[in-house]
Amino acid sequence: MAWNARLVAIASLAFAALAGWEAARLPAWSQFDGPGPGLLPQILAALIAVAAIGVLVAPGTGEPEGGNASPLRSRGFLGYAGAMVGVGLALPYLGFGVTGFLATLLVLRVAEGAGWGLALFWSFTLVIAVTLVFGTALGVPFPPGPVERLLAPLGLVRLG
Amino acid sequence: MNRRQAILASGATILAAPAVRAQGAAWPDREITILVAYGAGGSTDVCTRALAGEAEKILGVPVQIVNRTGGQGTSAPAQVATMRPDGHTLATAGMAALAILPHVLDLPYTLDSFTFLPGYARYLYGIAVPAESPIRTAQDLIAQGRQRRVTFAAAGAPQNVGMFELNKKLNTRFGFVPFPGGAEAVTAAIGRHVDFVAQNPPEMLPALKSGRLRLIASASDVRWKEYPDVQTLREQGVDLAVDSVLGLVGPKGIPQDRLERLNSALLQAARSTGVGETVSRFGMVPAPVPSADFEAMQRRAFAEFGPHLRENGLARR
Amino acid sequence: MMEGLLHGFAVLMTVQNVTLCILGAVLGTLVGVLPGLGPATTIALLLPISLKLDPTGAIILLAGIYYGVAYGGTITSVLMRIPGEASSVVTCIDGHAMAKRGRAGAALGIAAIGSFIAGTFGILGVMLLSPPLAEIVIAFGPWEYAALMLAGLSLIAFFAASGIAKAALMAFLGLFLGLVGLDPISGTPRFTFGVPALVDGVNIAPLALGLFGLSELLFLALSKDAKPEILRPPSTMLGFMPNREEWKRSAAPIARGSVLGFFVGLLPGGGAVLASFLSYAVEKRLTRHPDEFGKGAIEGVAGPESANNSGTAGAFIPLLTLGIPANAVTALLLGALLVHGVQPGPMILERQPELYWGVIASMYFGNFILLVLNLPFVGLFVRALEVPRRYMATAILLICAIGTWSVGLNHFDVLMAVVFGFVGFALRRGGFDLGPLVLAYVLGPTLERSLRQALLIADGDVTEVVNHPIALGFLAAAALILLSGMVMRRRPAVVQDGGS
Repeated sequence: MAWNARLVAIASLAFAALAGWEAARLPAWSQFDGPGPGLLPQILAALIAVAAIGVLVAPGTGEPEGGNASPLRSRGFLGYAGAMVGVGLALPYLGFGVTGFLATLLVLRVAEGAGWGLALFWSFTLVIAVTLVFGTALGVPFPPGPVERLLAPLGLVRLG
Repeated sequence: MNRRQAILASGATILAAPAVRAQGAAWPDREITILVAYGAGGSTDVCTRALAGEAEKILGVPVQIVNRTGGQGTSAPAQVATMRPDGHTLATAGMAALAILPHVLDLPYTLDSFTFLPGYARYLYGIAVPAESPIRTAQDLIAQGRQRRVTFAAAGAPQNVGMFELNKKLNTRFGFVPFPGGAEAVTAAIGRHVDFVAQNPPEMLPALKSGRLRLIASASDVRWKEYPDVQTLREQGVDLAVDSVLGLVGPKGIPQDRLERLNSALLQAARSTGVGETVSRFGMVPAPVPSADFEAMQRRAFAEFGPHLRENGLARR
Repeated sequence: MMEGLLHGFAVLMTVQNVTLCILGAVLGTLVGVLPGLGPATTIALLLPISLKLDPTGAIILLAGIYYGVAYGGTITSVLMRIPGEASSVVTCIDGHAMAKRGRAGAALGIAAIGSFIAGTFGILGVMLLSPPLAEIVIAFGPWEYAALMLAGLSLIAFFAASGIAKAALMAFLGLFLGLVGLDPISGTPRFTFGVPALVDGVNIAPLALGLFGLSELLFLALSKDAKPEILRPPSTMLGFMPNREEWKRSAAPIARGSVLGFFVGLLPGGGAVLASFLSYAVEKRLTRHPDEFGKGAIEGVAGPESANNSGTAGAFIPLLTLGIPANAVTALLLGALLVHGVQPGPMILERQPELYWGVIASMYFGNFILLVLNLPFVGLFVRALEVPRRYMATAILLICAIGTWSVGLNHFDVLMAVVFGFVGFALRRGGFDLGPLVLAYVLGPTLERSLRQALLIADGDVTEVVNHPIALGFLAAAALILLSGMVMRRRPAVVQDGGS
């Protein structure tokens, strides 16, 4: 855990530096006798740095949550992480239908080691179920991807 | 609800199609979408829905609403500015998006990015003081403002800009204290944390009716219908009227014939009693303003507000 | 009073209104269970339909949703460690730990019953105390709010199990996140970098879903088990209910949570969230089993869940009597009231008694329905824990994806959620507690705004605060809370990892 905590602390220091730099561009005091938009961000950037140093000094001991093994060695982790990143990047362009299907497929094959049959079946089923519940029943607008464009004229999905 | 509307309207259109085709394919031929810049259930949203409902009957196609919130009212106009100018996508735009925020934020549009359509609702404003306050008229307020710093609560522009104007013209020292919403501003005044409040009728009426606040002036061009005996600022000799009209815009370059059709239909809808009623429920005044006037209004406000916002530290440059 | 209430029940007991109440409660629970789809989205979606109803019916429906969401949010918090809304964050801590110990049913059961009792108490409070309580809201000005927020932030001391430096870092980061967006006083954009989605600030849905939901997903991915591991799952139906010991330990927390939550929820700006965190801190301070906190102490569920619900009821007071919405959901309810021509305000009791009492009656009834709905299904919900990871986790991923999209319909929110997912993972790996981050993020904006408003009014004079006794009181409370939290860490019963 100490290693992980130190990593977070260092990242926080970097964050504090960037934040402080950006905050310095805002006026710290306004013309009306009161704090300006920059005061609190500047103070916080400093406080974050101080707290980060405190964590560097006392990062804590014990096993990190999830075990000592590196996540980057776990197929499961890589599979899910990859799917998450893929969804984050592709969702507005490929729409929910395609993205959700591919993400589930990736997870089931890579992370869970399932066979093609099960993977394809569950990917289809899950995407259809979520689309029906959120899109058709609850009327949530969906990202305009190829599948959504097909379904919209049928009134099953609203494009957002 | 939209689906059902769409199905019903398509059904009606299909039935009417032969007749229409006989006339020579009039426009519009499919649904029109209005992007509403604020959340569902708010005053802008509900009034626009009422307008859309009337416009549907006149245009003969579904007019649907999509809420495009965010950016304090600018995301809807920002999006519509990028869409095809075929007259099928419009957006709500008020003073915030057109005359105020362009001075404050880096927006992807300017007033020239739009084709202006009619306005339909006008916001009223008023000035009220706590019941115990010795201030009874607008002149009292000005006098106090000249002697000492007088704080006021408001949710933002355009009322605060109005007060800034007074500071300049009359040498008063009205100090603006921003609040996140009208109701909070009104509560601050009731609690006597500030000296007066400048907000819209719906937020102020409960406190006024129960006697905790006293309305000393209508800050608009007209008196409030609920308080016909309270004069406007102008009537009391203070040269200020805070005016904010809500209207629609479309991307620049909508073809002239479609524009005329939209203008006449929307203006007619804005004049209807249904829209008038809904608008009044939110303490606004129905304002069927032709597009040319609406555009002139916003451009004038944009030009006027710039200097005031800058001087008071609220603008970018 | 009683005639008013009876009148209210008469208004409620029409086929239409009862149906709407139940529909609202069920829909609300469903919405609370599905992460990302917050109550605001649902109410917004239903608003056009509600326009077709009469005012009382519409408000009953929408209020039912509001209530139902609190219940539904508890379910995902306990079972999947995904908070349904910000106020369920605290339940994720001990509630989920209880689930891991096989006591998910007990956690859900206590949460449901505690919520019912607290909700009833809260409604009683609304009924009896509205006028005087409205006065409290009015008496709170910028100084008082700033001091209250500071007192709320000082609660962090009770969430510092992993060390003060770590908790402080989380709090400061949370405060910073809350600052992103337009400056509340000058309107200048801060840290938005030209991204339109950030102009209104970092949205809570991607933040919470990412930090909690997606990070949980990554931890699930890391574990070797294809099925979630539950130690000692109950074997009988009754085993899903809280046992005697758990009942006994929950009684006082529920009582305290109800009272605390109500008064805190009354104040706009952080109400239910602050209430749940406060209750957790109080219970941690008063408990006889402090070492269990964080590992599945029932008090850590009973108290906050009750506070949450009575806070929800308390939020109706400023809404109905002053027209001040406490949060996005009550803001929508306010809009709905206005649409239907109802003017919230002190006169509402006189001018629209049937609406006022009808809503109150529906709150009682809705609470009752939710209890009836939730309890029998607890066993079913807990079974969800046994679904193999591959199905549950992929479902969570997809639901979080569409849930995040539904918030603002833009790409940035989705990306932000994913980033926060990894951030949350890294933070938890480092032994950081996410609670302080969320609390600070929620309270920070109000703190800054109130402080600056106060200084604006006082013309920059900080010493003005001495004229505000309520504010001074809260500042003293803040100091006490900080001290109390620090002292607690020195208790022999508390074992700490890495000191402060």
